[in-house]
Amino acid sequence: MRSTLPLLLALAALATSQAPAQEMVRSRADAEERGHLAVEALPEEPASSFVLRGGTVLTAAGQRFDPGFVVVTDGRIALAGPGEPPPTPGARSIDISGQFVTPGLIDAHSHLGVYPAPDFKAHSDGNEMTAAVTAGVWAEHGLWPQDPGLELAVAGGTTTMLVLPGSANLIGGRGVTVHMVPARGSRAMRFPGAPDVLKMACGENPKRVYGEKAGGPSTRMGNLRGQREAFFAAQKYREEWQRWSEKQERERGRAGKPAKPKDRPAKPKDKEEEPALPPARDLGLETLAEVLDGRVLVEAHCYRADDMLNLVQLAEEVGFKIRAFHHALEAYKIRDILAAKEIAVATWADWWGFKIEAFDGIEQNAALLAQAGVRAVIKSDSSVDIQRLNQEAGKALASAERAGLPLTEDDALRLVTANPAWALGIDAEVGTIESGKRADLVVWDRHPFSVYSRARLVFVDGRLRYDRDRRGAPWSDFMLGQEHEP
Amino acid sequence: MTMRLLPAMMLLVAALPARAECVVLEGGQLVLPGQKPSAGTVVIDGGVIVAAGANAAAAGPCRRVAVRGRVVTAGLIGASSTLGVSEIDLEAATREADAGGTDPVRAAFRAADGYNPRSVLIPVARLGGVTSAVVAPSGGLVSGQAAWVDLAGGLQTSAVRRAPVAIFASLGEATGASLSMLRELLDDTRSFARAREAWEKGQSRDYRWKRLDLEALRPVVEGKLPLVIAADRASDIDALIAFAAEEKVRILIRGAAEGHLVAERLAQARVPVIVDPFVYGPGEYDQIHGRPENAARLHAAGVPLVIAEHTGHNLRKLRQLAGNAVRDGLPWEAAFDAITRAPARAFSMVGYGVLEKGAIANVVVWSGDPLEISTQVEQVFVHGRAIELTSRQQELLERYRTLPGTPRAALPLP
Repeated sequence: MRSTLPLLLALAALATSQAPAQEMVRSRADAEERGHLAVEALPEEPASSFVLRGGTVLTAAGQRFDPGFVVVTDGRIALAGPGEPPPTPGARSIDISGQFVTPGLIDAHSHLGVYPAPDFKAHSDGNEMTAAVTAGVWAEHGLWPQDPGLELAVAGGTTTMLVLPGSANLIGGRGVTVHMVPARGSRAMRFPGAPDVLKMACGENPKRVYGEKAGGPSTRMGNLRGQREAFFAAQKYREEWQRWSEKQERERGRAGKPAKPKDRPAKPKDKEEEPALPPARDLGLETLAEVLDGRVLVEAHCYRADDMLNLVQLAEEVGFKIRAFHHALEAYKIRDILAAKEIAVATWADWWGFKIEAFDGIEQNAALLAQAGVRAVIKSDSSVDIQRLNQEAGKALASAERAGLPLTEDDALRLVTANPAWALGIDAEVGTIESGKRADLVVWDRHPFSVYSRARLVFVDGRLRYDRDRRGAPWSDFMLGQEHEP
Repeated sequence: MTMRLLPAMMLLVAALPARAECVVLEGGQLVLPGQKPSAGTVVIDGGVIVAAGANAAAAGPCRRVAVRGRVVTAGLIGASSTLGVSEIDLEAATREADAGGTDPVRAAFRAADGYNPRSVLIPVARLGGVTSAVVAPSGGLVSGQAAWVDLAGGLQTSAVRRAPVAIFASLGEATGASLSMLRELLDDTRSFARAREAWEKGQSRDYRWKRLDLEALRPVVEGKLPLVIAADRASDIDALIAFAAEEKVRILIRGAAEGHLVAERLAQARVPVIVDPFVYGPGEYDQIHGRPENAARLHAAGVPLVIAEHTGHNLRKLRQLAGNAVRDGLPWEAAFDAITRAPARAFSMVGYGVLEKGAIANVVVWSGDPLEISTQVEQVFVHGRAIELTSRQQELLERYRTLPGTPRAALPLP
């Protein structure tokens, strides 16, 4: 948690400062961060203190308190443990006897908001299919915060999701990690301090979309060429900015020094001494340069084992790390390599076969990966499955049991909590029930891996966002006035 | 050619299983038609259930299998599937579900013709407790004829149990245009049936449709074969109920996301619905009033309820779908019925979907509640024959249990 604090503070400062738009950028990172300033953020609602007591606490951190308690103050988990909570003055006590509490579920792969419901053509904002490399587009600019799917996802216990551009492009653009809260604009939903991610895609999809178009790619060879060339261009761009920054530094250093004693007659100022302009910004190369800096995490859509190996090779050639492979139905075939390189895998519990690169999917993918030490994630990539990630984790557990693979209840819960938190770079903040973490919590009416289980209460940052027994007006403006009974 | 074919054909004959054995499943919890699990015994012989219930006993010598603590049920039925007609959805060479072309009417198209009983999807579905499926064509306004298949046997002749069991159709996005075309089509079907002889002699009027399409629709206008029509919006369902009454045809509604809004009408007209309980919320414009309680409300109103998963790859999710309907208010017995007895009834397949004397011995033994996620399929019988519980996926798992999997060591020198 400490490690992300400075970044959080920096972002908070950025969010409140009224930096004049015309002011010269100081660095590439500085320029980039201005794009994230939220004009739509509301003042934070006060977070009340409460204690969940009497239920079973599944921490996703290796512990199960049965019964146990969770104390929440100021939107964070103050304490969790077995038995009865210590006296907590001023905190409301919520009895959840016979029920279960887990961390809020995290979907590492969603297109809610960018492919919202209903599936209107005019709302299809998830794939910028005008070129195979569109690193400069941001999912947060396509994310419609009125997507009715958001509230359905919350009702299913999802509190955080990564919204990604689609997989039509070799490099599809930036994804954004958001908290599931009603908002007027996507920036107000951004998970505080979460890094941006880059969506890349291997294999069939870019080939299918661009195969008939001028410039391609139409083959896997073309896929790799497109991705390599983009990153080589980014290396050059990054160097240009580095040179410019270094020069700025030198000049600032020179300006700070006292004037030299020798009083030669002052030369007329030549061009060199005028403040140099920064290099022209290229949003696509900027994103890729941020990847090379390690500030933007790479989330790569790949199915086949050899496609993944090709991308790992590319990443090592160019010099970046892949944070997670997505879908990755053949990841189990290369789980030793993925474990050694610390690449997470976000997959499904049982989707398979809809295309040939998905034909070797097996239900034990996640369990085999977990056994090998890979951070395995079950994600939805679906407006339907994001409403029941608990069941999907339950299926992964059942499949592991059938095959005699050693996946525990805690491991299975981590597939949809702690592990996606790591894949999104927010594991210091959410993903487990531990002191200090954000109070993203779900109370389930029975064990969350049961098909009959329903979320009863869903908290985001300690604020109650869903109560099964107290449904109000819909979050989405679109759903207003639609709710006529027969 | 003949020489090369011959051994293969002989192999096929040899592979045909002998008469199904006699098996007694003892000590389990039986799901008898429309009921919750209760203790009992099942006796299977000659491919049929010869006894099922608390007091069932075998008449002669049988293989006895102890299933204490297990749940024994009829095999699940995929009521609207592309199993065996779409191996890999995005590879045209593996697809047989869609007649293709621009003609909106493909009533003569038979899903059974393209059904591949050797599809690797079939063992995967069986591992999910599915033993029968309605293989449905798709595309166009009238997609074609659906087939009822059992998930066993390597030949179409043994796997396809009845075809057609229904004609599948879809309203698409233009309800009015689709219905007017359907009206004309059914009217022409009747006219063609009457004028058939004259037509052969060139003495009838011209028909807009192909002869085989008009012939295929004849059992529909005679009320012998149902028309399964895809529609989600309440107003479309309303229009379809009126259409069916007016045309005197039997229909089933597939989709029916907003069915709960017209549940009384559906019940009154005795129109069965085939729903997917995962479809709620406004995924599509026609599903704006979709609700998690859809299945529960339809059942409560007395609408014959079938729950289906529409792909082939995900047929094993059938029990999860039914489980979710229970989560959202549907009684357990109705949910289990909706994936067994109800589809058999909707497609008039007597002897299917029930665990009772005389029924076809498609039987599954589960480790617990069949609808619960943690439950495993332990034994599957199709027509009384025990099915080996393996699949291509299972073989991949075994190959890759230890790495590196594929690259095997060089062969020893001969």
